[in-house]
Amino acid sequence: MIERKRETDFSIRKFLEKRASFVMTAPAVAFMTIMIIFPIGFTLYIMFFRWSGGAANPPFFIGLENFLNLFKDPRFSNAIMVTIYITSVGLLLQTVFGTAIALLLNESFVGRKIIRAFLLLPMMATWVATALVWRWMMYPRSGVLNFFLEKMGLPKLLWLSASATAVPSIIMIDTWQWMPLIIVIVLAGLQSLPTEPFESAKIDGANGWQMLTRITLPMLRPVIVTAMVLRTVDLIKTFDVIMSSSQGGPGYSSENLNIYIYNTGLFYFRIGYSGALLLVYFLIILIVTYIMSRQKGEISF
Amino acid sequence: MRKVLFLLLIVFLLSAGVVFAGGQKEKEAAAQITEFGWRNFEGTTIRVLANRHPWTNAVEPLLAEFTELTGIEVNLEVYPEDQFRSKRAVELISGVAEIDVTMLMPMQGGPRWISEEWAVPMDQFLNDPLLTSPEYDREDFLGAALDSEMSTTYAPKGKQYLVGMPITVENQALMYRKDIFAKYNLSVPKTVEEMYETAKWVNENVPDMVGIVMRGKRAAATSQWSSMLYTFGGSWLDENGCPAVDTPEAIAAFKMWGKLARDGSVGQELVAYHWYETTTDFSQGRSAMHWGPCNFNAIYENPEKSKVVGKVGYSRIPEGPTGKSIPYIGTWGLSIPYLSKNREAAWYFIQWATSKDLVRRLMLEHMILGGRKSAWQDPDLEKYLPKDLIEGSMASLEVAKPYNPPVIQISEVRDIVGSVIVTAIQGGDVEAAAKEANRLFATAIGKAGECR
Amino acid sequence: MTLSASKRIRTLFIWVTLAVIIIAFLFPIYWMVLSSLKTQVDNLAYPPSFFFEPTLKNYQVIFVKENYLKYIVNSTIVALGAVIFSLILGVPAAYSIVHYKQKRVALFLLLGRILPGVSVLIPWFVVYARLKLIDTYTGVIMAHMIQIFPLVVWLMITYFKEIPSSLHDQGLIDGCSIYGILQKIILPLSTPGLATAAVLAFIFSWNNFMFSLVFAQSRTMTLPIAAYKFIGYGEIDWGGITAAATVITLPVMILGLFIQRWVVQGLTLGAVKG
Repeated sequence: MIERKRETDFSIRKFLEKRASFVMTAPAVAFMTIMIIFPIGFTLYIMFFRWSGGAANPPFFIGLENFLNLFKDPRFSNAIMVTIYITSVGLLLQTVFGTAIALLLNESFVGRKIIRAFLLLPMMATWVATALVWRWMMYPRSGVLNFFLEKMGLPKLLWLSASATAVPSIIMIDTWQWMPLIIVIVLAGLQSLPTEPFESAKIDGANGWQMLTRITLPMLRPVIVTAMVLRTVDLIKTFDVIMSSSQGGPGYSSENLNIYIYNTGLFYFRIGYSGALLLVYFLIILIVTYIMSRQKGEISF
Repeated sequence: MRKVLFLLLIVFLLSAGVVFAGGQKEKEAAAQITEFGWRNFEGTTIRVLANRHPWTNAVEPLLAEFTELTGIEVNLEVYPEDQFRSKRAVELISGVAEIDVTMLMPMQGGPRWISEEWAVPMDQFLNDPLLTSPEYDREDFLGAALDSEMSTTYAPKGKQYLVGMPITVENQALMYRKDIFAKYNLSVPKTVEEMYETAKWVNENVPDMVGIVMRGKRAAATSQWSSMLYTFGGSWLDENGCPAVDTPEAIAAFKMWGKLARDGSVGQELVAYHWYETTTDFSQGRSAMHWGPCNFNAIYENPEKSKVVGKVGYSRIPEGPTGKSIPYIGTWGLSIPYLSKNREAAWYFIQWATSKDLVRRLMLEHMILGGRKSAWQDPDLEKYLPKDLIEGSMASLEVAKPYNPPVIQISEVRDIVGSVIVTAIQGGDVEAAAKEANRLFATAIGKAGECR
Repeated sequence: MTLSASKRIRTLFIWVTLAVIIIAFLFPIYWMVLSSLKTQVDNLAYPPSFFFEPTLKNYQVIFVKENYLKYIVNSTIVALGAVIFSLILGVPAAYSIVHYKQKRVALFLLLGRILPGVSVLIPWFVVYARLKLIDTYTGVIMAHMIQIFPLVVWLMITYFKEIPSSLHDQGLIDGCSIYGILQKIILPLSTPGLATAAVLAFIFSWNNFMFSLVFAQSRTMTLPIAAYKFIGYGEIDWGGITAAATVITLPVMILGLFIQRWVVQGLTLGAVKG
């Protein structure tokens, strides 16, 4: 009796042990599958159809026509341009300034921990609300930002109200919200750097600038790249900021691909076309992420 | 790897089962009703989807009265306009949501609702004496308001039906500061040219004030601009149903808009102006005129929010080169989506919300311009609304035209035309933009081949 | 110049620069909180008023009239639920991925981060409606998890990579199964990383707008949507919105301040060696 019981125990445990890699990942994989199977399936299906969302006019098969229209669509190429604009400039600013501030914060001084805590604030505040507050501050005639500019004797800016300055304003809001993330990542990376290289460099007579460029930055590279990869995907997907502040305007000057897809699907009811746009969008993100993570030499997001 | 595939297969089959299962629920046999009674449907709960609008603000506290009258519980969900539209869109497209009553702008969402058969026609309720109170009086509704709810333009003749019942009427006026005009000896402009000159003069000579504010934000501006188009003798479509936004009249209307923006208004930043910005500027005393819908009177006459209480004059919009002044009319209404499972109870809500008594109360107590003649003709009205507003509105409503072209793809077209307005304000090449817009307009409504 | 003098100038320079940065960074938050204490008239005034009579009326509206307590409860339940389930599903998966080098599984699990939110709305609404998940905590939690879960997995992967495999081998020698190793050795060591993942996931769920808008209705509506209700036709109640925004931000801020030490530690450890 006892012998048999031990045998069964043993075999269940053995099963769990042998299949540990399966058991530990199966629930996660199952969950993920359930969550994405419908959206992906639906998108891959509907992008070959023309459908306006109702049952009275059921989906109408048009083959690759949605994709052909894509290439002729000036608003699509505009959306791509805006996406590239936001992503590249945003990434540059956030990385450069984030790293610079992190370097500054690395110097030991009183109150460093508190300042670090405060710097996380923009990231934690509700983004839709803070974007709305920014929009309010950016009103050319009644906003507080122009009030300050005027007081300092500088010309007033049009911020979100002019095509040329809309995207820079959005990049500014996004940088404000997310630069803390980069600061925090790089700062902690800085604080974990070994001290020996610096000491030996000092002995060799290197000055601050040389130490920065020859030692610090190269050693920080993996950290910085990680932060960059993380932000790139989010920058491509920028949505809440734009929706709350400019809604893609003036005209279409701040409409990126995500917003365009949203408009096409839910406001124009061109579900099939938005499916085709989604596929392109998805591919773009995949490709960019792949290229970026190659920089680090391994798969990571 | 094989295990993964197996798992995927199982998940897929399960999911497919979920999606395609769930058949039609048997519709319960309707209780026998022998006569109209407000409590015939007590015990039901209805879900009402609404937009954050002064009407909603006014009706929300009154819901308890409805429940007391009918015994029907109301689950009211309110969202700001953009979010309201997208949430409603997702639920409609899904085909499986449960909405009993929703606010709908028949001239904006109406065509699509009609084409997709999303609305339950109102006539079946109106014509049923068991479901409609004898005091409802369909004739009391303003002709223009009911017309806007009618699927006239979008459904074949003989098959027209009412998409919803109107709750508010939005007609356009030129609002101006009586005190400023008096102080500087300005007269109320009779023509658009005069309005331009006045606005320009104010811009140059009155400190801290611009001449006029209007909307300039892409799609939002098109409704306000439409009356400029009509007043210049233009129209959205020509006799063949082809887009006509590149005609000389339309281009003149665009250019006037741009001129007004740059010389008589805030300048280029007008491209970001939606109702919030225009209303705030005017109610804070930063503008002498406002070309817009007159139902912001509720804000202008509210001492908690406005600095111009009692100083606002309302006039018909000035005449254009054609000698005519043609404002637009817009309405909000309540509709019953096909998704509703409590249609009779939903109809009771609509009935109550558009009843003579309630419309009158909302108009007198909250300055919400309703869609019933009896409310407009109420002798007490003059105590609450400025006289010129009342007279101007009644006159406008006779000749007002809808602010949107009679097409299904309204959102897209509004964006297309709106971007020409943006170009005009920014001082760009209006002719080229209009030609391009016309082309895109034709493509959007599926007439790329037959029209320019 | 003496060494100490140049050092002092350097410190001064750092202080000034940091001060400018901090002021610029925190100004919008300051403005937000300030505006929540003003009446609408003050909020619309130009030039903007920095000195005024403060009022708590906006907060009164929020808690009394709009009953924000309900939304706070909803947001908390949803965020906690999303975080806890993401951890339960994600931590073992992450460890398995690191230990057994399951690259393909890793890629698959991280797919959810790339998927644009828009593509999920309609298909998921259909499924949810059939399963009666609309306006339920389960439904909203699951929707939030689409975005949070990949993040948790990614963070835990980077963190687990940190832990030297010698510890794992030691556990094996001691006769533990891999589950035992995870439970007894790895998890205790990973507290900073877990805290990081939890806090970041919490922030993302707490502030989520789109999914809460579509999948929740009156019963389970969360805070960010409630805040937007102050936008009306023709007017934006700035006092109301900023008060709501402050109320929404406060819990997360406090949570963050407590755990920020670990956040910093956790975010970086993987990155440095990785």
